[in-house]
Amino acid sequence: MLRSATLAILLALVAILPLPAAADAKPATGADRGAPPADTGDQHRPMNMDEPMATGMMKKGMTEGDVKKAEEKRARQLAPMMEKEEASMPPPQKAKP
Amino acid sequence: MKKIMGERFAEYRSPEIERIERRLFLRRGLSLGALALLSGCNITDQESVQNMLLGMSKWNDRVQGWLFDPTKLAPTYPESAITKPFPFNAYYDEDQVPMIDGNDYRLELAGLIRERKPWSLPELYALPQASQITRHICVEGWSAIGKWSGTPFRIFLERIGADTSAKYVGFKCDDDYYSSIDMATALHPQTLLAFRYADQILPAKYGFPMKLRVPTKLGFKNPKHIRAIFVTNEYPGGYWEDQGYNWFSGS
Repeated sequence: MLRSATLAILLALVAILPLPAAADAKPATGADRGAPPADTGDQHRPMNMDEPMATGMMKKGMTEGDVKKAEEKRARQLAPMMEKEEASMPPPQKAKP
Repeated sequence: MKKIMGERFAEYRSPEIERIERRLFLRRGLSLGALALLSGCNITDQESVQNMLLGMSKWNDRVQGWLFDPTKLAPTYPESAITKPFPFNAYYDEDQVPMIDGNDYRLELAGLIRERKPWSLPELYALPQASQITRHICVEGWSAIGKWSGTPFRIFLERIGADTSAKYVGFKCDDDYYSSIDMATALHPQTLLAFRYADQILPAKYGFPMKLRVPTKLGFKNPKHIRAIFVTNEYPGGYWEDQGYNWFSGS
Protein backbone atom coordinates (compact mmCIF):
# COMPACT_ATOMS: atom_id res chain seq x y z
CA MET A 1 0.00 0.00 0.00
CA LEU A 2 2.80 2.37 0.96
CA ARG A 3 4.64 1.41 -2.23
CA SER A 4 1.65 2.15 -4.46
CA ALA A 5 1.07 5.49 -2.75
CA THR A 6 4.74 6.39 -3.24
CA LEU A 7 4.53 5.39 -6.92
CA ALA A 8 1.43 7.53 -7.41
CA ILE A 9 3.05 10.55 -5.75
CA LEU A 10 6.19 10.10 -7.85
CA LEU A 11 4.13 9.94 -11.05
CA ALA A 12 2.17 13.03 -10.04
CA LEU A 13 5.45 14.88 -9.38
CA VAL A 14 6.89 13.79 -12.72
CA ALA A 15 3.77 15.07 -14.46
CA ILE A 16 4.06 18.60 -13.04
CA LEU A 17 7.81 19.02 -13.50
CA PRO A 18 8.91 20.95 -16.64
CA LEU A 19 10.58 17.91 -18.17
CA PRO A 20 11.96 17.81 -21.68
CA ALA A 21 9.57 15.05 -22.60
CA ALA A 22 11.34 13.40 -25.47
CA ALA A 23 14.80 14.84 -25.49
CA ASP A 24 18.27 13.52 -24.84
CA ALA A 25 19.41 16.50 -22.78
CA LYS A 26 22.83 16.74 -21.18
CA PRO A 27 22.92 15.93 -17.49
CA ALA A 28 22.69 18.87 -15.11
CA THR A 29 26.05 20.28 -14.17
CA GLY A 30 24.95 22.85 -11.59
CA ALA A 31 24.69 26.61 -11.55
CA ASP A 32 27.34 28.52 -13.50
CA ARG A 33 29.18 25.31 -14.41
CA GLY A 34 29.29 23.43 -17.66
CA ALA A 35 28.08 26.41 -19.70
CA PRO A 36 29.26 26.68 -23.29
CA PRO A 37 32.26 29.00 -23.85
CA ALA A 38 31.56 32.56 -24.96
CA ASP A 39 34.67 33.02 -27.13
CA THR A 40 33.91 34.72 -30.43
CA GLY A 41 35.34 33.45 -33.66
CA ASP A 42 36.64 36.07 -36.10
CA GLN A 43 35.52 34.17 -39.18
CA HIS A 44 31.84 34.05 -40.05
CA ARG A 45 30.66 30.75 -41.44
CA PRO A 46 27.26 30.27 -43.08
CA MET A 47 24.81 27.82 -41.61
CA ASN A 48 25.36 24.32 -42.99
CA MET A 49 22.00 22.59 -43.27
CA ASP A 50 23.55 19.10 -43.10
CA GLU A 51 25.78 19.84 -40.13
CA PRO A 52 24.81 18.25 -36.80
CA MET A 53 23.41 20.71 -34.29
CA ALA A 54 25.74 22.18 -31.70
CA THR A 55 23.59 21.93 -28.62
CA GLY A 56 22.99 19.52 -25.79
CA MET A 57 19.25 19.85 -26.45
CA MET A 58 19.45 17.95 -29.74
CA LYS A 59 18.32 14.41 -30.31
CA LYS A 60 20.55 12.02 -32.22
CA GLY A 61 20.69 12.78 -35.94
CA MET A 62 19.33 16.35 -35.78
CA THR A 63 20.95 18.78 -38.22
CA GLU A 64 20.97 22.56 -38.43
CA GLY A 65 18.64 22.38 -41.43
CA ASP A 66 15.92 20.69 -39.37
CA VAL A 67 15.02 24.00 -37.72
CA LYS A 68 14.32 25.74 -41.05
CA LYS A 69 12.21 22.80 -42.26
CA ALA A 70 10.18 22.75 -39.02
CA GLU A 71 9.70 26.52 -39.11
CA GLU A 72 8.40 26.44 -42.68
CA LYS A 73 6.02 23.60 -41.86
CA ARG A 74 4.65 25.41 -38.81
CA ALA A 75 4.30 28.69 -40.77
CA ARG A 76 2.24 26.87 -43.45
CA GLN A 77 -0.05 25.46 -40.74
CA LEU A 78 -0.57 28.84 -39.07
CA ALA A 79 -0.94 31.02 -42.18
CA PRO A 80 -4.69 30.53 -42.90
CA MET A 81 -5.69 31.11 -39.27
CA MET A 82 -3.43 34.15 -39.00
CA GLU A 83 -5.10 35.68 -42.06
CA LYS A 84 -8.51 35.20 -40.47
CA GLU A 85 -7.31 36.68 -37.19
CA GLU A 86 -5.80 39.71 -38.91
CA ALA A 87 -9.04 40.29 -40.80
CA SER A 88 -10.93 40.26 -37.49
CA MET A 89 -8.88 43.17 -36.10
CA PRO A 90 -10.11 46.78 -36.34
CA PRO A 91 -8.20 49.02 -38.81
CA PRO A 92 -5.19 50.98 -37.52
CA GLN A 93 -5.95 54.34 -35.91
CA LYS A 94 -5.11 57.28 -38.15
CA ALA A 95 -2.19 59.40 -36.91
CA LYS A 96 -3.25 62.82 -35.63
CA PRO A 97 -1.96 65.72 -37.79
CA MET B 1 -20.97 -12.28 22.75
CA LYS B 2 -18.15 -12.06 20.30
CA LYS B 3 -20.63 -11.81 17.43
CA ILE B 4 -22.51 -9.01 19.14
CA MET B 5 -19.29 -7.09 19.78
CA GLY B 6 -18.27 -7.61 16.18
CA GLU B 7 -21.60 -6.35 14.87
CA ARG B 8 -21.47 -3.37 17.21
CA PHE B 9 -17.91 -2.63 16.17
CA ALA B 10 -18.93 -2.80 12.53
CA GLU B 11 -21.83 -0.46 13.18
CA TYR B 12 -19.71 1.99 15.17
CA ARG B 13 -17.40 3.86 12.82
CA SER B 14 -15.65 6.68 14.58
CA PRO B 15 -15.00 9.86 12.55
CA GLU B 16 -11.24 9.09 12.78
CA ILE B 17 -11.71 5.69 11.12
CA GLU B 18 -13.86 7.25 8.39
CA ARG B 19 -11.16 9.85 7.71
CA ILE B 20 -8.50 7.12 7.46
CA GLU B 21 -10.72 5.13 5.09
CA ARG B 22 -11.31 8.16 2.92
CA ARG B 23 -7.54 8.77 2.77
CA LEU B 24 -6.98 5.14 1.82
CA PHE B 25 -9.63 5.39 -0.86
CA LEU B 26 -8.04 8.52 -2.30
CA ARG B 27 -4.56 6.99 -2.22
CA ARG B 28 -5.74 3.82 -3.89
CA GLY B 29 -7.69 5.81 -6.44
CA LEU B 30 -4.60 7.88 -7.26
CA SER B 31 -2.44 4.77 -7.50
CA LEU B 32 -4.96 3.04 -9.72
CA GLY B 33 -5.21 6.10 -11.95
CA ALA B 34 -1.43 6.28 -12.26
CA LEU B 35 -1.18 2.56 -13.01
CA ALA B 36 -3.96 2.84 -15.56
CA LEU B 37 -1.96 5.59 -17.28
CA LEU B 38 1.03 3.27 -17.46
CA SER B 39 -0.86 0.18 -18.50
CA GLY B 40 -2.72 2.15 -21.18
CA CYS B 41 0.35 2.09 -23.37
CA ASN B 42 2.77 -0.51 -24.48
CA ILE B 43 6.20 0.72 -23.45
CA THR B 44 7.78 -1.10 -26.36
CA ASP B 45 5.67 1.00 -28.74
CA GLN B 46 7.66 4.18 -29.31
CA GLU B 47 4.73 6.14 -30.77
CA SER B 48 2.35 5.42 -27.93
CA VAL B 49 5.04 6.31 -25.39
CA GLN B 50 5.66 9.59 -27.22
CA ASN B 51 1.93 10.32 -27.32
CA MET B 52 1.58 9.59 -23.62
CA LEU B 53 4.54 11.83 -22.78
CA LEU B 54 3.19 14.62 -24.99
CA GLY B 55 -0.22 14.30 -23.34
CA MET B 56 1.45 14.55 -19.95
CA SER B 57 3.47 17.55 -21.13
CA LYS B 58 0.29 19.32 -22.31
CA TRP B 59 -1.31 18.67 -18.96
CA ASN B 60 1.87 19.96 -17.36
CA ASP B 61 1.50 23.17 -19.44
CA ARG B 62 -2.02 23.68 -18.12
CA VAL B 63 -0.96 23.13 -14.50
CA GLN B 64 1.99 25.51 -14.88
CA GLY B 65 -0.32 28.08 -16.47
CA TRP B 66 -2.70 27.82 -13.50
CA LEU B 67 0.15 28.07 -11.01
CA PHE B 68 1.85 31.00 -12.77
CA ASP B 69 1.56 34.17 -10.70
CA PRO B 70 1.71 37.15 -13.10
CA THR B 71 2.83 39.44 -10.27
CA LYS B 72 5.56 37.26 -8.76
CA LEU B 73 9.00 38.50 -9.76
CA ALA B 74 12.03 36.39 -10.64
CA PRO B 75 15.04 37.05 -8.35
CA THR B 76 17.33 39.91 -9.35
CA TYR B 77 21.05 40.20 -8.58
CA PRO B 78 23.76 42.85 -8.05
CA GLU B 79 26.18 43.70 -10.88
CA SER B 80 28.90 41.81 -8.99
CA ALA B 81 26.99 38.56 -9.54
CA ILE B 82 27.05 38.78 -13.36
CA THR B 83 28.62 35.72 -15.01
CA LYS B 84 31.68 36.67 -17.08
CA PRO B 85 31.89 35.77 -19.85
CA PHE B 86 28.20 35.14 -20.37
CA PRO B 87 27.89 31.84 -22.26
CA PHE B 88 26.91 31.59 -25.89
CA ASN B 89 24.29 28.96 -26.62
CA ALA B 90 22.40 28.11 -29.82
CA TYR B 91 21.78 25.12 -32.04
CA TYR B 92 24.72 26.22 -34.23
CA ASP B 93 28.31 27.28 -33.57
CA GLU B 94 29.24 30.80 -32.57
CA ASP B 95 30.88 31.54 -35.93
CA GLN B 96 27.53 30.79 -37.64
CA VAL B 97 25.57 33.49 -35.81
CA PRO B 98 23.34 35.41 -38.28
CA MET B 99 24.85 38.74 -39.37
CA ILE B 100 22.04 41.30 -39.52
CA ASP B 101 22.33 44.81 -40.92
CA GLY B 102 20.69 47.09 -38.37
CA ASN B 103 20.09 49.80 -40.99
CA ASP B 104 17.83 47.58 -43.09
CA TYR B 105 16.25 45.77 -40.21
CA ARG B 106 12.49 45.99 -39.71
CA LEU B 107 10.54 44.12 -37.03
CA GLU B 108 7.44 42.59 -38.62
CA LEU B 109 4.12 42.24 -36.81
CA ALA B 110 1.21 39.92 -37.58
CA GLY B 111 -1.96 38.38 -36.20
CA LEU B 112 -4.20 39.93 -33.56
CA ILE B 113 -2.45 43.33 -33.65
CA ARG B 114 -4.15 46.55 -34.69
CA GLU B 115 -1.03 48.51 -35.77
CA ARG B 116 0.98 46.09 -37.89
CA LYS B 117 3.44 48.52 -39.46
CA PRO B 118 7.07 47.30 -39.34
CA TRP B 119 9.37 48.91 -36.76
CA SER B 120 12.90 50.15 -37.40
CA LEU B 121 15.59 49.93 -34.72
CA PRO B 122 15.70 53.71 -33.96
CA GLU B 123 11.91 53.57 -33.39
CA LEU B 124 12.33 50.62 -31.03
CA TYR B 125 15.24 52.25 -29.18
CA ALA B 126 13.04 55.32 -28.57
CA LEU B 127 10.54 53.31 -26.51
CA PRO B 128 10.69 53.43 -22.67
CA GLN B 129 13.63 51.32 -21.46
CA ALA B 130 14.27 49.22 -18.35
CA SER B 131 17.16 47.04 -17.14
CA GLN B 132 17.33 43.82 -15.20
CA ILE B 133 20.02 41.53 -13.81
CA THR B 134 18.51 38.08 -13.74
CA ARG B 135 19.48 34.44 -14.04
CA HIS B 136 19.19 32.65 -17.36
CA ILE B 137 18.43 28.99 -16.66
CA CYS B 138 19.09 26.46 -19.42
CA VAL B 139 17.24 23.17 -19.69
CA GLU B 140 20.68 21.56 -20.25
CA GLY B 141 21.41 22.11 -16.58
CA TRP B 142 23.55 25.25 -16.43
CA SER B 143 22.65 28.80 -15.53
CA ALA B 144 24.28 32.24 -15.76
CA ILE B 145 23.46 35.75 -14.57
CA GLY B 146 23.37 38.64 -17.04
CA LYS B 147 22.21 42.21 -17.48
CA TRP B 148 19.68 42.96 -20.20
CA SER B 149 18.02 46.25 -21.12
CA GLY B 150 15.13 47.01 -23.39
CA THR B 151 11.48 47.91 -23.45
CA PRO B 152 9.05 46.07 -21.16
CA PHE B 153 7.19 43.79 -23.54
CA ARG B 154 3.83 44.79 -22.05
CA ILE B 155 4.47 48.40 -23.10
CA PHE B 156 5.33 47.30 -26.64
CA LEU B 157 2.22 45.11 -26.90
CA GLU B 158 0.03 47.98 -25.72
CA ARG B 159 1.73 50.39 -28.13
CA ILE B 160 1.01 48.21 -31.16
CA GLY B 161 -2.59 47.56 -30.14
CA ALA B 162 -2.14 43.83 -29.54
CA ASP B 163 -5.17 41.89 -28.39
CA THR B 164 -3.91 41.07 -24.89
CA SER B 165 -6.85 38.74 -24.31
CA ALA B 166 -5.38 36.39 -26.95
CA LYS B 167 -3.69 33.20 -25.78
CA TYR B 168 -0.25 33.29 -27.39
CA VAL B 169 2.57 35.49 -28.59
CA GLY B 170 4.81 33.90 -31.22
CA PHE B 171 8.31 34.77 -32.44
CA LYS B 172 10.10 34.08 -35.71
CA CYS B 173 13.83 34.59 -35.78
CA ASP B 174 16.53 35.27 -38.36
CA ASP B 175 18.27 31.99 -37.51
CA ASP B 176 15.01 30.12 -38.41
CA TYR B 177 14.34 29.44 -34.74
CA TYR B 178 10.76 29.97 -33.58
CA SER B 179 9.03 29.89 -30.22
CA SER B 180 5.97 31.18 -28.40
CA ILE B 181 4.82 32.11 -24.92
CA ASP B 182 1.52 32.49 -23.10
CA MET B 183 -0.01 35.97 -22.87
CA ALA B 184 0.28 36.08 -19.04
CA THR B 185 4.04 35.70 -19.34
CA ALA B 186 4.19 38.23 -22.20
CA LEU B 187 2.54 40.79 -19.89
CA HIS B 188 4.72 39.92 -16.87
CA PRO B 189 6.56 43.04 -15.60
CA GLN B 190 10.00 41.45 -16.12
CA THR B 191 9.47 40.24 -19.68
CA LEU B 192 11.67 42.49 -21.83
CA LEU B 193 12.17 43.07 -25.52
CA ALA B 194 15.91 43.40 -24.96
CA PHE B 195 18.14 45.54 -27.19
CA ARG B 196 21.22 45.70 -24.96
CA TYR B 197 23.43 43.35 -23.02
CA ALA B 198 25.70 44.75 -20.27
CA ASP B 199 24.71 48.29 -21.36
CA GLN B 200 26.00 47.69 -24.92
CA ILE B 201 23.94 47.15 -28.07
CA LEU B 202 23.17 43.45 -28.08
CA PRO B 203 26.16 41.68 -29.68
CA ALA B 204 25.40 39.29 -32.55
CA LYS B 205 26.24 36.27 -30.38
CA TYR B 206 23.60 37.31 -27.82
CA GLY B 207 20.84 37.93 -30.34
CA PHE B 208 21.27 41.26 -32.24
CA PRO B 209 19.10 43.17 -32.92
CA MET B 210 16.81 41.95 -30.15
CA LYS B 211 15.95 39.00 -27.99
CA LEU B 212 13.03 38.33 -25.73
CA ARG B 213 14.28 38.16 -22.17
CA VAL B 214 11.89 36.12 -20.02
CA PRO B 215 13.40 35.47 -16.57
CA THR B 216 10.39 33.39 -15.54
CA LYS B 217 11.06 30.80 -18.26
CA LEU B 218 13.86 28.46 -19.32
CA GLY B 219 16.46 29.75 -21.77
CA PHE B 220 15.03 28.19 -24.93
CA LYS B 221 11.89 30.34 -24.40
CA ASN B 222 14.09 33.46 -24.85
CA PRO B 223 14.30 33.74 -28.67
CA LYS B 224 17.18 35.73 -30.20
CA HIS B 225 17.51 37.63 -33.53
CA ILE B 226 13.74 38.23 -33.56
CA ARG B 227 12.42 39.08 -37.03
CA ALA B 228 8.64 38.87 -36.49
CA ILE B 229 6.20 38.89 -33.59
CA PHE B 230 2.62 37.66 -33.87
CA VAL B 231 -0.33 37.41 -31.51
CA THR B 232 -2.74 34.53 -31.95
CA ASN B 233 -5.24 32.17 -30.40
CA GLU B 234 -3.89 29.31 -32.53
CA TYR B 235 -1.23 27.22 -30.74
CA PRO B 236 2.04 28.34 -32.41
CA GLY B 237 4.43 25.77 -30.87
CA GLY B 238 8.15 26.31 -31.11
CA TYR B 239 11.14 24.42 -32.46
CA TRP B 240 12.18 22.61 -29.27
CA GLU B 241 8.59 22.47 -28.06
CA ASP B 242 7.63 20.65 -31.28
CA GLN B 243 10.42 18.15 -30.55
CA GLY B 244 8.88 17.24 -27.19
CA TYR B 245 10.27 19.85 -24.81
CA ASN B 246 7.67 21.23 -22.45
CA TRP B 247 5.94 24.29 -23.96
CA PHE B 248 5.34 26.34 -20.80
CA SER B 249 8.82 25.65 -19.35
CA GLY B 250 8.67 27.98 -16.37
CA SER B 251 11.99 28.34 -14.54
